[in-house]
Amino acid sequence: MKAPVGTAILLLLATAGLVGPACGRAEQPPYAQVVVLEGDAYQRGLQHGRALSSRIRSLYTMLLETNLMPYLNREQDDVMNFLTVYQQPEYQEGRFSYRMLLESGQHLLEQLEQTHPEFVEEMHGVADGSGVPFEQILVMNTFVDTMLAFRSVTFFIRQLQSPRLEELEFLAPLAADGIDNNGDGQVDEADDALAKSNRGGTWRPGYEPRNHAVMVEVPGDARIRMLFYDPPGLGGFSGGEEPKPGDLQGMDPESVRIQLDDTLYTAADDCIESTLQGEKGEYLEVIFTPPGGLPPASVVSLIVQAHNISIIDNPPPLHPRVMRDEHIVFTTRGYGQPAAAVANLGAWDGRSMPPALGLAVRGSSTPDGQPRLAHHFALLDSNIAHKHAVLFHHHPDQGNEFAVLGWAGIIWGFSGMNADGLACLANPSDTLDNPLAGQVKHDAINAKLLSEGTPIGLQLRLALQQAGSVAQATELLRGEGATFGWNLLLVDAAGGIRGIERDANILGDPDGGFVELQPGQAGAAAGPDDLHTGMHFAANVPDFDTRILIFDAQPQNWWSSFYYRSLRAGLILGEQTARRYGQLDTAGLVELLRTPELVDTRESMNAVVFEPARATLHYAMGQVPATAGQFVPYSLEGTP
Amino acid sequence: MNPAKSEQAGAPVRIAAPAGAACLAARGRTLVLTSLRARAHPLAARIMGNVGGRRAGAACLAMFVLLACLLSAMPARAGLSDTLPAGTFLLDSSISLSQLHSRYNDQGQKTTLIDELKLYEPGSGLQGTLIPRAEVNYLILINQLQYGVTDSLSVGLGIPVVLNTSVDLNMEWIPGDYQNYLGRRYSEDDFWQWAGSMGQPRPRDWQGNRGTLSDIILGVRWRFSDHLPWLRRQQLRTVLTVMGALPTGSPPPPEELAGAGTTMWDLHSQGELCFHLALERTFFERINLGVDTFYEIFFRHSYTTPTGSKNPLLLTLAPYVGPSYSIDPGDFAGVALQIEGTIIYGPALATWLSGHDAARAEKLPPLLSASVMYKYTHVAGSDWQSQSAIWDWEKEKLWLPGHKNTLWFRVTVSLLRLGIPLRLYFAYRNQSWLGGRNVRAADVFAGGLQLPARFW
Repeated sequence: MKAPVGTAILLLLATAGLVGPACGRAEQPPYAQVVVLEGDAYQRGLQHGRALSSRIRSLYTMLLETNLMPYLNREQDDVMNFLTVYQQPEYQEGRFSYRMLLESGQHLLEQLEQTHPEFVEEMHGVADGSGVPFEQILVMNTFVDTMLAFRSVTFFIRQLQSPRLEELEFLAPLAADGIDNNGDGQVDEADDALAKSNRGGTWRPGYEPRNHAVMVEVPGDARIRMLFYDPPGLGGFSGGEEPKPGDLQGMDPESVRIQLDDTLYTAADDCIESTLQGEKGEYLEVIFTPPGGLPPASVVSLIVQAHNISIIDNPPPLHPRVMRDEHIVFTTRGYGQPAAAVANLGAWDGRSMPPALGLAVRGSSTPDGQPRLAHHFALLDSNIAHKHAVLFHHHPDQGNEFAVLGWAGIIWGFSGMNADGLACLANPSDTLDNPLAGQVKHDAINAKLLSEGTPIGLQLRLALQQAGSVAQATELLRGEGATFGWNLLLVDAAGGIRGIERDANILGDPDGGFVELQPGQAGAAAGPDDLHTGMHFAANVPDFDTRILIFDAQPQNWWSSFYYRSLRAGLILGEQTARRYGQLDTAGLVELLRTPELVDTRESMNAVVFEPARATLHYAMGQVPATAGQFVPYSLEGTP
Repeated sequence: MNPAKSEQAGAPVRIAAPAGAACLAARGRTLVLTSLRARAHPLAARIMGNVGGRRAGAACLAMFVLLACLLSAMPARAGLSDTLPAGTFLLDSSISLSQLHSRYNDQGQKTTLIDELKLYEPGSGLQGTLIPRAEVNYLILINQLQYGVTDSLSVGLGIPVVLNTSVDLNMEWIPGDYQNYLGRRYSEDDFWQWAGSMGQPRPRDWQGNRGTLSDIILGVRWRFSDHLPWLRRQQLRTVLTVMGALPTGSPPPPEELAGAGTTMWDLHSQGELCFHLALERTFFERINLGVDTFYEIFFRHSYTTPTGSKNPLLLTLAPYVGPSYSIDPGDFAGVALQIEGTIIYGPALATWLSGHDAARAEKLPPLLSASVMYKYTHVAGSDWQSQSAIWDWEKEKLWLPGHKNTLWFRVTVSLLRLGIPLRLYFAYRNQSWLGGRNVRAADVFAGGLQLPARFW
């Protein structure tokens, strides 16, 4: 019997050994990949598609099909009220966003086929290599430009029907203190305690969102008066149709929230007194008495919010119309600075994230004089995009060798560098000066939401493929139409630095929608050898100010949800840059990008520091936030 | 034991295949063959009148009768080395209720079956935190039939049927940031209205698997020490047990967020091909100590990928995962230690069962016996294969290599000495008291009865 027993035991052990726990511990696949592409445009696209087929499918499905598109579908109801074409059956039953993005992409495609057919070839290569339908590849490569413009239009329409802060007044004797308190250039005028707006170049009473203090030298016992106004809901472009169900006019006094520096007060607090005014209660006057008074010689921050009495059920959940948080800064007696000199840094609201940020440095801002470009891009990760991050290194058969930081299936990125030492980046910047608003202005209710121009990522690709310096790139970019508002930073190996703030210029402004910024630009630099950008315009101000049909189409600072957080992040970035001036080498820039107040911990997508003079970049991607990971060196010329 | 597979497909909740049931293991790590002890047990051997090891009592009954004196061969306890006397059948029927509501993560911390989900409104901060305190319950009927081919070799068939599976999501909601868009914080209802506006219905509790067959188990146990004099001299009983599962169970419904299957992998109680090598010895004639080493294999199986027909936001996976995917679950390997003993012998009545012989009745199994087992199980990592390495990892990271520690308590009441041909047992198995890693901790209550039979 020994033999069978032994055999059985051996069999047992052998079986165990064969199929045993030798499988080991599964490991996360690399979320960030490097893909090297060679040849003509189609060949590079083909290689891209073959190398990343699975990730292209998952990025499309996860980010677009089951995330962004359903989210945009929520806007259909609002859009249909104004643009009747979207009432057609082909846009119903959840197909609105896909068709809208596809049609916009096809519109861009028609232009690209004429102007830059090599990009179309490359997209076809991606489609063929991955087996993903070309339509989907087209949407992947154009949705960002369309989506941002679409979001601006819908967000703006929503804000237009929401309450707003009409007046802001400090109840204190400011008309005889010998100071220009409200920054309107006049000293001790009768209404010096009243905030004023100079929209359109003329000062008049009324609140205006500002990038600096709205009032200065306010006494410590001052009270603050605010007047909110709730406009009637709009039925459509004509204004004649009934507002949507539940869309009621009238302010809700219980909705007032005021954050004074770090302390939040609500309508339940005694320090807030409110009075409804108007036939429908469309006005709400609020008197805020800061508990304990205001600190002397200080910069004080206010964040103000309120909503109306609407109960709107589409899109769900039930909600009122809510004004944008207004971030206001003022100073108290003894601080001694004029309004324009006090930046609107404000206090953090406890929930907003900083936006995408970029910083270019050279010369005196660095220890070695070498130019560098740092970028942390954040917009829409949704716990998805970072798993599909790719560094594409192109060896085209014509033009410059270059690299872009992008995502699977997308042939461009928001930053890149070529072997000639040109590095560039782009951040979105909300504007109504975009092609979709242009379509509405031109075709009214018959308009379709179609993007125009060259997608910004493709513009960066053009610069990288064809330009070797900031000057060349600038001229090349000037010839391309903008799909939206964009903030660009360009750096070259010779130390050239240029910022560009773009819009679509649908009104034909003299600036051409192309505003250049130089190092040392006020509001965008800490010194003579740096330049930074966020997601608001620092120089292209106002970006837009007109009427579109019945709408008062306002400049960016009046409505953009990115405005205040970008403003705040830009100011912090400036402070951090100044603190490190002269030490901003690659390590210094990485450290700066990791500053907690500058890191979007939710929608961070990638981060990079370019060293154009060494044709080397240091990328961090594949995790959220991107800056939490290692900055991996990569050279366009081989091992860095 | 029965971990609920939790899944986070870019989003919120996926409780696919909570494999919760304790099912087969309700009776120990061997489903089929924990049963009659023949002469290997000294007490049983005496009862059988066959101390020498020869087959006992085989000739005493010959016709189709249900019960017979050889019932005296019934083991007092569930030993690791039990086999049936030759020619004897044993019908075993039990009910198990498995409760699963926690797991041990990769750091060995006890946590909810599904990680909490922080949900963000794009660009507007934290909507809230969804904490699914999910609980998975399986009610399983296990019928077994065993047969003693020889005194040393028994075979068996186990037919587990899931009577019901319930998955209670028990969602808890912690509101997040004040939402500018709403003018308030999201309530849980607000959140699901928001999700609903994008086409994703609110996940509901799930019930199913009513009367659904699990994998049928076939087994064989060979007490090879009977053939090795040296071991017998040492009073050591050594047993090799092999069990295999027929793929008769059902996978979880692919389109359900909170659905559960009935296969061995879903139940996660034992492998599909199991090898056990046990060693047992009796001390003081009333205490058995045993050790069992085992290796249990799962085979790769294919599954249909969800298309999102019911849960478009959370389960639209087929476009990138592919129409199907496969899982090679991590095998089990480990060791169990068991002690069992007599608590109450009880009265011995001279009844028909003992041939109206009080002395013979005295040798029947004790009225009350008990056993305690500790089992350490190493669980190898599971391997997902689909067209998406990213998705594979999202699944695999929840099933990394780990281990579970199981405690097992069992009480057996034998009525044979009272003239009733029935044994009842009650068991409780616990995996949540002792920490583990990367496993689901299922606790199981079980009760069953055994009827021995001989037909010639």
